[in-house]
Amino acid sequence: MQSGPSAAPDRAAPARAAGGLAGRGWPGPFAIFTGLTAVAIVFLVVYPLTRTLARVFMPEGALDLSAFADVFAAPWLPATIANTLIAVLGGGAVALVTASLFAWANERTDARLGLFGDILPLIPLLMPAVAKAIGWVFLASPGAGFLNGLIAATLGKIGLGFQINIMSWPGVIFVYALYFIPYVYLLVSAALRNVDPALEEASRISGAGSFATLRKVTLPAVKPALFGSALLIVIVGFSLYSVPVIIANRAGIDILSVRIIRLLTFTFPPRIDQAVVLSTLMLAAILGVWLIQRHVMASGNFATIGGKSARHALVALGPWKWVARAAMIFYVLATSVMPLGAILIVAFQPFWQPQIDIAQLSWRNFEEAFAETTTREGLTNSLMLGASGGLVGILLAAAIALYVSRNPGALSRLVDGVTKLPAALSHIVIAVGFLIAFSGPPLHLSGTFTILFLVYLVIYLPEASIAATAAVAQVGRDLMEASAVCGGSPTRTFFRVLIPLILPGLIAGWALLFVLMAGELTASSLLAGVGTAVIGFVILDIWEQGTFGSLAAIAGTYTLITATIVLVAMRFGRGGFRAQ
Amino acid sequence: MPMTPGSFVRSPADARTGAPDAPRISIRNLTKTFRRAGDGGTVVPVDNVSLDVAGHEMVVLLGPSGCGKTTLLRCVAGLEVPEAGEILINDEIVFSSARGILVPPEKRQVSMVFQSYALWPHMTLFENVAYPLRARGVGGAEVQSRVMAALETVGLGALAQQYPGRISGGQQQRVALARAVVSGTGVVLFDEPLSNVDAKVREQLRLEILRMQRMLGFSALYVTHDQAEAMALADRIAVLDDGRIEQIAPPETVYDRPVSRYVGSFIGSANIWPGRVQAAADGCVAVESAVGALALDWAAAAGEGTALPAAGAALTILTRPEQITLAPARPAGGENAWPCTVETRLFLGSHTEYIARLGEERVRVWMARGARIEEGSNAWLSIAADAFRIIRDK
Repeated sequence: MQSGPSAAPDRAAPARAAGGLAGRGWPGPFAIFTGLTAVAIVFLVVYPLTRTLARVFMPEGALDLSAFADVFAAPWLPATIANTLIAVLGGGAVALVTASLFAWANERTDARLGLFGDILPLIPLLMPAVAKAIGWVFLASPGAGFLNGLIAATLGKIGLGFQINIMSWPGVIFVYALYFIPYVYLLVSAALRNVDPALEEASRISGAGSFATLRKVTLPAVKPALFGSALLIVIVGFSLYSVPVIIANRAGIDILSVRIIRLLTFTFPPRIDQAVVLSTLMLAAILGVWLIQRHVMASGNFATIGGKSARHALVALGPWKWVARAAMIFYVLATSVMPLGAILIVAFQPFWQPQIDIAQLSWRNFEEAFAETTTREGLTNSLMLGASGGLVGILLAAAIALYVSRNPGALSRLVDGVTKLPAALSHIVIAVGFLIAFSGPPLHLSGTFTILFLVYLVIYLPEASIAATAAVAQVGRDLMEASAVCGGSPTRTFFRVLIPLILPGLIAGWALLFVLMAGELTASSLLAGVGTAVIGFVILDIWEQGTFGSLAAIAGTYTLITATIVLVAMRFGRGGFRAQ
Repeated sequence: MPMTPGSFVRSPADARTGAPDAPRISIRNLTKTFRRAGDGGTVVPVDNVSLDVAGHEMVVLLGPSGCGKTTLLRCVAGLEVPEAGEILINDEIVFSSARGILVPPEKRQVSMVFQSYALWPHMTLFENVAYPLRARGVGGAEVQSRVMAALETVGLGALAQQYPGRISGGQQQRVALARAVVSGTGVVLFDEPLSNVDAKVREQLRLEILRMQRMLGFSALYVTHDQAEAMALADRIAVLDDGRIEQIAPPETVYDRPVSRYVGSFIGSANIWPGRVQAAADGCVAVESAVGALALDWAAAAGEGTALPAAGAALTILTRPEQITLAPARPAGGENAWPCTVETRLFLGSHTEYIARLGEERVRVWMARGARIEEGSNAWLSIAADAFRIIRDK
């Protein structure tokens, strides 16, 4: 008779037997390794969080809310919170509407652009947010911005001149929205792909027009994705640091993430208590949105998944088709080509000016920027941390994904839950937790590579886990069983069947982690030390000094490196054999 | 030596140990249990099953989904671990609960063809078929010649360097077939191999499997839920119900002499009526049934040498639609003939199906050709006395 958890579902039973089969290849040690990894992850996620909460609620061992009182009495608090909400919710609202329209146009209408759907999810990886923000400063600063130069040279000549200013409220919301759009697009377009188009066709045959169908059938079907996107926006929006520190700051808009990092780094002595209270508030806000989302999901019927990628008639948009296409192309340009172009122009100009004089372009800014030791070190540190952190991250995630897929059970569910947990916490909350838990005694990891490495691992564990799980899921149970029945030993099955099949997915996952880790700014700003400066840190430093030529040279180089790695890895990761 | 088809495998007799007629697969009192979701109750997909597959024999496990046929097959392959019983392959014990023996799948002398084909997408067709040979330590030129011969046998020699993602589903299943026979294990397990291909290809592959089995002489255990496939392929069909073998016999016997209502109605179409014995004499039994009084030839209905039933005994009677005659007028001879009304007429190409009504009872009749009888008209149904079968009512 079998023992085991009584709740083990019926369909898990055959998989359990297969687990026994695969388990012979990795007996005890594999389970022990997975168990230890899980324990380490739980420790790295839960311990800093606990320390943070203990610090804020019980600084002296007893319940003491004076830190809260201190923060609530601060004169800047209402404005900072209001600003943050306006930026995140404003940018988020713009992104939700725009990205949903993009997703609908691209999945359901004749305005679809095949390439757009492929490129869009890659955009946040191709160009780091910090470079994007700097690019937009170069494009749309009053006076010297290239767009303003262009307007002056054309419309200005016929008396219609005006200036656009990115360092303003509309500018901040615009750049936030640019940043959020891929997140929403990914979720909503996936939801649309999962909704059987026959549901919409049935509605139209029943006499409802295109718009009524959109409102009564399509929108309710993607409602879960919309709420999921909203939650995601709140989580990533609160911890977004690069955009506010570059753009909002110059506009005199004080944003929570910038305030927290200032309290911990630029203030002396550091106001740890205030920073911790602020990040606790952030956590509470995220929890609130999560509860709302759960409530919405629980109250609706979302049984709409058809799963058939059946051919269906595209909605004809008429003249709107070109409007939709122009908007999508503008988005791609605005979020990659235009800011990168602006950065590269400034990098080659002797000094930043809206007029481009080909004769004056030179490599001097690159030479000067990379003559600095800090720049070279920052770049090297980021690349090393990204490469090694990505490698360790994807291997750990792959080991866990393998274990979980072959051994359904309580341990697997727990481990799976824990690896997804950091996604629900703001980067800044995790970083503050690390600062409190590990920078002081007994470990004294402050300013070391170790603390950066660990915090990157924890922050990007969900991404690693998603990539690894997808890679492992590609290898159906049958493919492994077929090997065993063909006489293949577990070792042969592992090296000849499993590894070759999951490798492309793991390489793509590694590239993703590499770019995310090398470009991480929020936690790095808090935890990097003098000797461990990373590239984002160096870029912000130069931004503060205002040497735009060097700034552009570094940001441009960095963007090109990460974009190249992403494109090469994606190309390799999609690799040859899955040619259908 | 010229390469003849089939020379890439050792003759099954070489591979076999023991007596020539010894079973290649022997399953003794096998039991496998799963825990059910939610209530924690148990499901018994394999319930004390015993079964032998002889050399060169193809046994088809037939039953609806959930009857345990795939689980039984996977137990033989070693992909599931049963709780109790014994499995022998080529006289070697590969599982025995009493002796604590469990041989892993890679050490068992079996091959398997999966429903999903399970071809490795990163290997060419050649590499896929070469895999079992290389895994079993065959090397060099022998791999080359045996793989190519196997691929030629399934007509895919020209595509050896192609990847599975680039060929059709039918071709993929041919490759899987080549992979299963290339190492000459002598025992091939089929797990619903044709349920993912479309109808035309299915018929074609069915013939190919049969041809290869005749040519190579492997023993096979073949799982399907398709009764037509089972009858076409099987030397013997094992009809499974709820983890037990309800009947195991050659296809003709399973069709002509089903033991129970379950087997009778699962295989082919059947008219099944309850009845009560009125009188029995001289090998002839008079029964009062749902369709009326009928006389049946007891030896044909219950088997030679079966004792006549007592008057008043309850029976369940089965008769096949093609055994019934529908005519516009009362046939001559007069026994077992009843007036009826034709309710529905379905022209099905090779035959015409009629649903005839006798009082409350609907009777299904298949007529090859003959006079067309319109829907709604009155007609006569007749059944020969030896066309009835007595079955167990379950």
